[in-house]
Amino acid sequence: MRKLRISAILVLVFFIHIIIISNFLIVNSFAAAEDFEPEFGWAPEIDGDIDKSEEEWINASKEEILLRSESPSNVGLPVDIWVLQNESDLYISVQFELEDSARTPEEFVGIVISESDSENEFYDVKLVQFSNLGGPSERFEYLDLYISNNQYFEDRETSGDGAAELDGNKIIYEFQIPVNESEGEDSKDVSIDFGETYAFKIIYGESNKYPDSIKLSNIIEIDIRYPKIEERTPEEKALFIVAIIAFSTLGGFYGFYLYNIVIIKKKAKRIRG
Amino acid sequence: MPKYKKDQKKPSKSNNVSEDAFLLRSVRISAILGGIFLLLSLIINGTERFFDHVVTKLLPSISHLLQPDYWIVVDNAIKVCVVLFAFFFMIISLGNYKEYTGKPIKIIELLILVGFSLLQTVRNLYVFIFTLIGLVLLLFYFYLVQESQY
Repeated sequence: MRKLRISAILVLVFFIHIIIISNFLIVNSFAAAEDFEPEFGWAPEIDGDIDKSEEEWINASKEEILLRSESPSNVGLPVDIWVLQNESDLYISVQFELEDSARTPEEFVGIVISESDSENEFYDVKLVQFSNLGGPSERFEYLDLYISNNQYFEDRETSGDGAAELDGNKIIYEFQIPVNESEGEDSKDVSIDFGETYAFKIIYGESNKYPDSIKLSNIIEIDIRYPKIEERTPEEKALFIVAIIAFSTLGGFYGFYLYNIVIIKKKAKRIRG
Repeated sequence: MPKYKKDQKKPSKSNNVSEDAFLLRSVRISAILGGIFLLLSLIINGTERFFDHVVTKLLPSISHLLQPDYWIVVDNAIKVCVVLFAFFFMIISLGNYKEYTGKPIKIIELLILVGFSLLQTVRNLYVFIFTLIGLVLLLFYFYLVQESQY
């Protein structure tokens, strides 16, 4: 009886271990592609700074993913991805912490955009490249590139925007990518349309030799949503009809008035005798 | 009793002509400006597309400059101003039109113009209230200007 009880306890402990270990595995394995359905929000300022006082990024969809290398020994880099959308742009923020010793002066983070949700059609690259990161002459540059035969080329007509800022060990990258054929898009950009899903590869690298210097990456998918059309209440609809009637009547009066202005001289002559 | 003619001052014809030309030009230019503001009012007060977030829809790149609540205030201020400008120019045009034709502006015409200006704003309570205040102030201003002429 005592042996049975010990066996039961051991079995229970074994199952608890399995549950804990599987949980741990699920947390750290991450799906190959995280799917984002960004909320609509107000455009944040692309300056590498999350201004909490202005509630920037408050509506963003936020997920943590792991940027991985092809080497199985590399544990990867956990990064926070924030995604936000409005009628003209998609906003993506990539944030992570690294010790100073692990940083390189020519660090970069880029967003490689696929022409669809396929992971084989990556074409457009938006990238923020640092030079002398952490040094006295630290600066960054936003680059708009495109891929042709696995080579990266500069798109002369830059669209979108990007910025980054290092604060202690934490670095924040911010990107603004035009959607729905907004101003600035050209043939070297992926045209991001409402109602479609696109694959975005987040890339991290250590020098400006693309694509060889890309060390870590992972793919996310983003569903580009249509702008919300707020449903009007019956009272609002009724007031809308009133306004339309008012405008129509005013338009009629205005037309009649213009006609009177045209014939004003004749009218004045008749009145004045 | 010697009779002599009083030196009556006759209004000069050239003065009348230039005043008429001025009135006519004022009627036309004010009517055109009134029409432009009426059209703008139709776009921002009478359509679905630009009823909310007027500025940030037209200029999304500047939307980060203000917090969302402040943009609503800016939108409402623009709506009020557009309706008031439309009223302002239309009343000037109508007043000068009436003067040109030698008739006074009737109170019913004034009320119709005020009423239709207010009807443009019925979809937003704040815009309605501030437009009402603006119209009262404008009418008071015109009343003062009229009084000071005599």
